Amino acid sequence: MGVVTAIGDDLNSFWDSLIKGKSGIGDITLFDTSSYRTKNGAQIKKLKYDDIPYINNDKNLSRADLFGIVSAKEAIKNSGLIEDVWNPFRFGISLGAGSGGIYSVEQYFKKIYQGEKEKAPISLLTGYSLCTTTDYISKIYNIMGPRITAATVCSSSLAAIGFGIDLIRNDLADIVIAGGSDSLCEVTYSGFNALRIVDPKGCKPFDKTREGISLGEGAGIIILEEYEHALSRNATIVAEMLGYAICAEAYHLTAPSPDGEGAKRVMELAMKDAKINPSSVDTINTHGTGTPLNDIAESIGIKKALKEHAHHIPVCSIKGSIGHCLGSAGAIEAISLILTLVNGIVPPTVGLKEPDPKCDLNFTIDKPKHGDFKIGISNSFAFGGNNVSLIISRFDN
Amino acid sequence: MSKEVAITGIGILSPLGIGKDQFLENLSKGESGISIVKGIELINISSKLAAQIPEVNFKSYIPLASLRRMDRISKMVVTALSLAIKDGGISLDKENLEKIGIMVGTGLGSSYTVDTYFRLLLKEGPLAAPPMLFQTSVPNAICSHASILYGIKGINATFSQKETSVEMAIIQGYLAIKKGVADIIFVGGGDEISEPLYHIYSKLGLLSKNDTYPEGSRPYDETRNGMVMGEGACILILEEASHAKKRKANIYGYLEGFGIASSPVDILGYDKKGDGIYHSINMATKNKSPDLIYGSANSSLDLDEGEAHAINKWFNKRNGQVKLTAISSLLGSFDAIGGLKAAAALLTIKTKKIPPTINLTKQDFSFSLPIVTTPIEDKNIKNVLTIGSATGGTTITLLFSADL
Repeated sequence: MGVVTAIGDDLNSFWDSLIKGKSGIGDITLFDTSSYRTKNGAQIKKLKYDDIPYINNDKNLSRADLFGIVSAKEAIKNSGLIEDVWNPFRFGISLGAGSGGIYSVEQYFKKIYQGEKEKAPISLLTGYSLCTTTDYISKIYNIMGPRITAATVCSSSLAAIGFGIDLIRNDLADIVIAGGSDSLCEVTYSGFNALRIVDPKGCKPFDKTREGISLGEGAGIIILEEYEHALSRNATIVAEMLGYAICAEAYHLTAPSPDGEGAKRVMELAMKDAKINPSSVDTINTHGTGTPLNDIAESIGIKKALKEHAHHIPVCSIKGSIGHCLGSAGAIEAISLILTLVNGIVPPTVGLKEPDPKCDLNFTIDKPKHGDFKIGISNSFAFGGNNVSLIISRFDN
Repeated sequence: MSKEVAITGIGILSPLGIGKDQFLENLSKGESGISIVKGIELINISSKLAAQIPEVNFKSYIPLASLRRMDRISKMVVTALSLAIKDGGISLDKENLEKIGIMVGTGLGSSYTVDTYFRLLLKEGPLAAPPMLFQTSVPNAICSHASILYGIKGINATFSQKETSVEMAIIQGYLAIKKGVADIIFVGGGDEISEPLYHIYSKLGLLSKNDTYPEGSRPYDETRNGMVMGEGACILILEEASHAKKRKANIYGYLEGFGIASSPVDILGYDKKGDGIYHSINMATKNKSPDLIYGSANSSLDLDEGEAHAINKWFNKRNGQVKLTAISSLLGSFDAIGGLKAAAALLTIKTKKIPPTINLTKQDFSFSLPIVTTPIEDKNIKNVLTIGSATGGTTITLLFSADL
């Protein structure tokens, strides 16, 4: 696994900050927020990549490409894969995208529309497509197998992990780089502000006083590998992907179905795919955006899907720490869940002080929860009710 | 018993007309959909051709209450969906809507909306930014509109993989039906020509323009000098075969195989050596050999060359007759063209009509197989392969068959 977020630009620093309850939400400096109603976001302010020659040689990379390449490098390194062991045609990639390189394209058109076309370098357009990060990583690692870029924004990267799982289940690849990368940009920042679902004081998932999300950025990459293939090279197996589901609420363009039916159904279908009962679930990393509507609907959905058992397991949202990273949220949260299962620690839900009575689950609040957690669910829900649930189990070598 | 995947409906919005009949009629005559671009302002842009869809009266296809929330790309794809549902004779009220899904591919679906929104933001500031416009500007808005309008609650996904975006949606739909998560999946997608997108393609040097040779779409031709931008939308109904037979659906053909591979080329480069294309063709043709190939050649120097290498290499190990045609000569090239290509392949299987590759006067490559350059009918066409190959190096091939 590899990760880049506002609270840490590698796996160790990310996890350390997460369980200590640090928040990466602060003032945005990437663009001018003076005329916005809100000013905050979980922006990545430092990133080490001096050791990646590719990045230093290519000036066309967008922020999303940078984050993706840095976390892919960490993931490959941690997996112990070396380039000469893989068959390039059996090596695939499945990433989720949100706004991709739009931040760069914005910089280009800003100059054009402000009448300074001579100052608009065409190189800013290189990453215009949502699959650019996928293509860059493929090029760097000589991937010649399947490439997938999922574009369901808030649920993209969790869906991408699901599609990656199916690439392996369907014998289309032995190894898949799965996850996603996304960066802040003005279009999404202003859009979520215009929808009035950004919390001016910072995101507080499930809290009584929550007002909305904080946007974030970053990348999360997981190396998926066919079981026998991993065994044959004596890889350290961290976790097993048990199953996933994707379905639609068909309810509203931005609001979730208030009865939690969409959330319930996707978790039930994922448990069916994973062949587990609700009582096997030890923890949930929620979508938990901090919007008034999502957090209630998700809580109801969890109670409907897991019944009484829902009240006996720790539940968290890490969006108060890293913000809502849109196209990479699902992957970063899935990584957080894997670290929970491996280390036996559910991170605190940063921002949450007093839960909304309508969100009556067993949330971690100001400190992490220790215990033996074997199986967990990670949820990602997108605009239009494009919901995804992934079920992961710890792997005891 | 393993599940088979039939295609039981086609909905099309193309530069050659609305609906499958108009599309097929013009396509099989070799009519070109390319002309001088209309409705967008081209400042400092050296190209001027495009393949645009005709004016559409969207009100005839989509209820007004839904229509007013959609931007143009959503209107285009949802119109194609409504045509497909009608063509496929599906009564949604008789179906289990949790077992019906939609999977769509789009390169930059809402580029026009994002641009309009961004210009407003720059000019008037954040307070003027309209939330209604933003919420329909996300790539998955197309699928959201479609699922809300028709109440379809099954698998729902959006893909963006340049010129293989729709093929990606088609193979994911195929895999989902095989897995049993849905009885019916609407697969397809669309892309539109917008001012910013035309600008980007032109500045990145992808478009044909008047230089030594004139501007135009001339796949496989020695004088080709870039693509002509097109637009369109297409939805196919993928249906689990026993479900289709039970409701006595009209079956166009079956999706019997696919190939997906890639070459690690430059972000804006095509698979010039054809390694990924070759591997992808081999994957799709493992069990059945095609009688006809719809190529991905789009009049760009490198893609046409890479595809020629790959097809030659593959064909040299085969026996028998295979024909080749490239409809980007008629429709231009765009990210979601794979839907129109797949529809054309299925219509060829049904009617035996093969559309010609027009504008081909001086063939650039020594192909081992004949390129169709005039409209013909061939009664022997049973299996058709489509190739989609994108900048950045992804190739997806689809093998459609008349019978299982």
